Amino acid sequence: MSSLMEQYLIRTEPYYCPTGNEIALFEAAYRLRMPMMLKGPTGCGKTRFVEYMAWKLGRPLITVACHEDMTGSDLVGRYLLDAQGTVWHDGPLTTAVRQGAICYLDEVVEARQDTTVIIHPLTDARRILPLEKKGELLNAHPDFQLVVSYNPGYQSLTKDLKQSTKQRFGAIDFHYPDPEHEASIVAHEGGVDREEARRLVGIAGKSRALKGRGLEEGISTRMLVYGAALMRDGVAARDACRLAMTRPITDDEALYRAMDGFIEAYFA
Amino acid sequence: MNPIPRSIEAPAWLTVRHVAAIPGAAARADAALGQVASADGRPVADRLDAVFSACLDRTAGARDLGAALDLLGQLPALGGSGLVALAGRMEGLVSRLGFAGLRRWLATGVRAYEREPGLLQAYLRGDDGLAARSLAHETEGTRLEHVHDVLQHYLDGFLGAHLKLSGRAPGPVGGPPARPTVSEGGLFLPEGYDVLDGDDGGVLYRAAAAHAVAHLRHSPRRLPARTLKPMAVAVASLVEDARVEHLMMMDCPGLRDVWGRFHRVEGAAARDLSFSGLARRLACALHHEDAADDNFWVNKGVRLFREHRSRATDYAAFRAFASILANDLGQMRVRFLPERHVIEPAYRDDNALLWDFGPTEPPPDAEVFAIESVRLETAPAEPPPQDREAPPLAAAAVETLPSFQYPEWDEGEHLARPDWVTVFERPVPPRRGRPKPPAAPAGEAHRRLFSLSRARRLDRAHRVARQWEGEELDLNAAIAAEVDIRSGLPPDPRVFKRPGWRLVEPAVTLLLDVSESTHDCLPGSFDSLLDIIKAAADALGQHLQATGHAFAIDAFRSNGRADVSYHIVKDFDETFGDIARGRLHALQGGLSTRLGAALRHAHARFRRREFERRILLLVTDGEPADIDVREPRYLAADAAAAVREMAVAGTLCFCLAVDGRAGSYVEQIFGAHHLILDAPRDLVGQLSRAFVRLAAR
Repeated sequence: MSSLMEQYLIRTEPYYCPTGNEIALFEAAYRLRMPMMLKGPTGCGKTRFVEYMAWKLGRPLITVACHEDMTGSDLVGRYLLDAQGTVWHDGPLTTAVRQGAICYLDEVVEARQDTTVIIHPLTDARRILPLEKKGELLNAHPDFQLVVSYNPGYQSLTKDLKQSTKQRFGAIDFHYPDPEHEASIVAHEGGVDREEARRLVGIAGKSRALKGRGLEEGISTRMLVYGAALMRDGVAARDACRLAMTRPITDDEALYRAMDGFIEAYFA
Repeated sequence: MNPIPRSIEAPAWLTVRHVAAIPGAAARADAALGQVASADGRPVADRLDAVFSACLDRTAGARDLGAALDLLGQLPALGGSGLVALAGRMEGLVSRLGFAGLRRWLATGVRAYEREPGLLQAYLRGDDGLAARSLAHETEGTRLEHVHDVLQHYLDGFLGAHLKLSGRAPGPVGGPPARPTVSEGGLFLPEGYDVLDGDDGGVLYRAAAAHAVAHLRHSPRRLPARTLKPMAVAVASLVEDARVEHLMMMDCPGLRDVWGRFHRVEGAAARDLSFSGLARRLACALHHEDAADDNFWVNKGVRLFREHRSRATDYAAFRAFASILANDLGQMRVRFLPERHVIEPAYRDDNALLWDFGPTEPPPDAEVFAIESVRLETAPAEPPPQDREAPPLAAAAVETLPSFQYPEWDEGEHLARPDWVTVFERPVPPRRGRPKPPAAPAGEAHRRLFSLSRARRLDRAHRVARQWEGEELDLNAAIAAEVDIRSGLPPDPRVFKRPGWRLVEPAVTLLLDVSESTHDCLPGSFDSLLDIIKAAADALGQHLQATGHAFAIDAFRSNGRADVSYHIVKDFDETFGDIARGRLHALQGGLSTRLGAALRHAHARFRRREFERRILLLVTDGEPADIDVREPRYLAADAAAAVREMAVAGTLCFCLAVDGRAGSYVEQIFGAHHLILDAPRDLVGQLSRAFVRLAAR
């Protein structure tokens, strides 16, 4: 593997607690090099899952956070100027296609539709990436796989993937883990005991019931891990929960005071 | 002292307008003053009359007046010497607490010193520690209105579903203090707790809500209670309270502290051997693990509870030992007076959820649905309104349909009456038959029409790259051009960026008036106006669906202020397919047109979603009217106020009136944003054109 790719390799096993058969499903999809779509709310473990799978499959992982201003060149690459003249720079997608990495486009709906169509020839039987400006037609490395993630919850009517894009992918649905699993995750990642983790998960469960009643999303597993880590470092439970969980999630006073009520119900 | 014969006449402080606003006001004031005069003498009554005259501003609205009359009605309970003690301070107290606050302050005093007239007089004079604390509590303490929204979220989060939270009006002065009531249809919490219940800054309300959640999660419902003695019911309720709280605390350990702060038995209460005293001691001992009590019965209860605690989900086992405890009390000759029993601690509810007292005997809390005595009426000669008004409100309170309360603008009084109208979201009743086939596919002209409907806005956050000219250089394009130049290729000269136009799709609510009058057939046709309205809505819906607009189709009708029906024919995130079209087809006309409430609800539904532009299109066939309103322009003025509120919030509201005589009221409500159609058959085309014009703005 080239030294360029070395930096993208994940060397130590990331912690991932499976909640179903998603690992086996992803492995099966990878054997077919099927492009994969991970759907689920923010902070429920999509990115961690991709990291874990990249480690497990021994492939380098190149992650791109998608945004509205991203152009095709940002993915594919562009000519730049240097002292000698013009030089072609591969974009992250091209690097992954050339070297056989897993390319992970995080929050892919954020990218404009004219950008996402670039991946079309890569995600069907052709597995090619045309670099028009460079005049090169790149055949994907046999190990290359494309993975995208998105959050079906907060996309608006105008932000959605085209059907022609969606239908190129296999998909795995992610949700917040069930309370038992989630408590194990929070206990492990946040370094608190199981009872404390169970209470944190209880608070999050109550907040998730408020989704659509003023809250866009409930408290995520990631927020719970932050709260737990603060508690582990000696911050009082109520302060830790407020700082990491209830205050960031909303500016509506009635909502965060109600959520402070949940904290009070779990941590005296 | 002999009663002084008097004819019913309004005191001078009741103005003609007051008498008109609250039917029976004069009689109520007269009855209360008459009662005082006959019991305590004319001078005391005159003194009160003078005090009210000074306190009640002549411009006071119906709400103030209602509170004042309510207070006056409770004053005879204080007795003559109490009234004399109070009269001197009353003006100051009213200015500080308001009429309703003063009433609660009095109730607190009567509750604390019911059997100690001397202390009560000291309280009324203000020479008492409790009087000052209660006064501070009434001015600064937490009332339900302060924490309602927080508690509503708190409840919804705990239950994972919506449970309507409402206030519960206080009972009469001298009666038992208000306590929560839980039912499947809603939670009623006291509008205010008094200082004797515990001063807390909202914890008491959270404790009450959490206790209600414990019941809803773990308690059985409506067990037969007819054959049980009241004391057995009270003891079984007490044990059940402790059982469900125990189950709840296993999940949420923090609640032990939340509830625990209200379980205190100190001083004389620790030696109280009455039923209430023993019940309170047992509740406290069950809650606090380390609480020590010297009473045999209390300790027996604690021992039995702890023996059963490991199988707390077994209701029957707890009920069995509760019966033993109740039996013991009977043998100890402890008396139980249901009417004097005060549920303690104050966060616990009356357990109406648990028991079924049978059809003839109402549960002890039938006054849950007590209604506000203030009412809008224009005809003072009407009979007292309670009889006619109570059933719809009581029905409304128990109905499990999603319900929403909205204010209504009273033009005459110049005030918005809060929570005056109740809107129910009712499903459209199904109707046999198939929907008519979809309207003819849109013609090219129509399609062109709709392509105009997309307004564009200049948006600086949106940059258009690769432009011939612009405000700044497009670096990527410039580098590409330079690369081309160096490679000997002709460069692309489009190297600038400029802010772009962004399409802003309006979201639309099409609101249909389906009141009784839409049933009328059009002259020379078998089609009713409603059929035309449906066809127009169908056509517009198809076009909006085809062009990808976010839109909803809703319909409304009303049956008095307590029962406005709102039907969602097609919701924003639903496709306008056969199901939604079937609902549109099934709409039937009936009842009246309370327009303001429907507009407010449509707007509230709009605002739950994040739309950048909102258009509300109303199709109506007549002036707003309802069965409980006789003043001709009252509802139109309210609708105009609703339209103003929407305009301030940025929602464009447009009315198509299929009523040749609509000129005056439509203009009053919608200003220039209206179109009056003399020929209903134009509606299909006009509705689409109106939308396009509005959307292109």
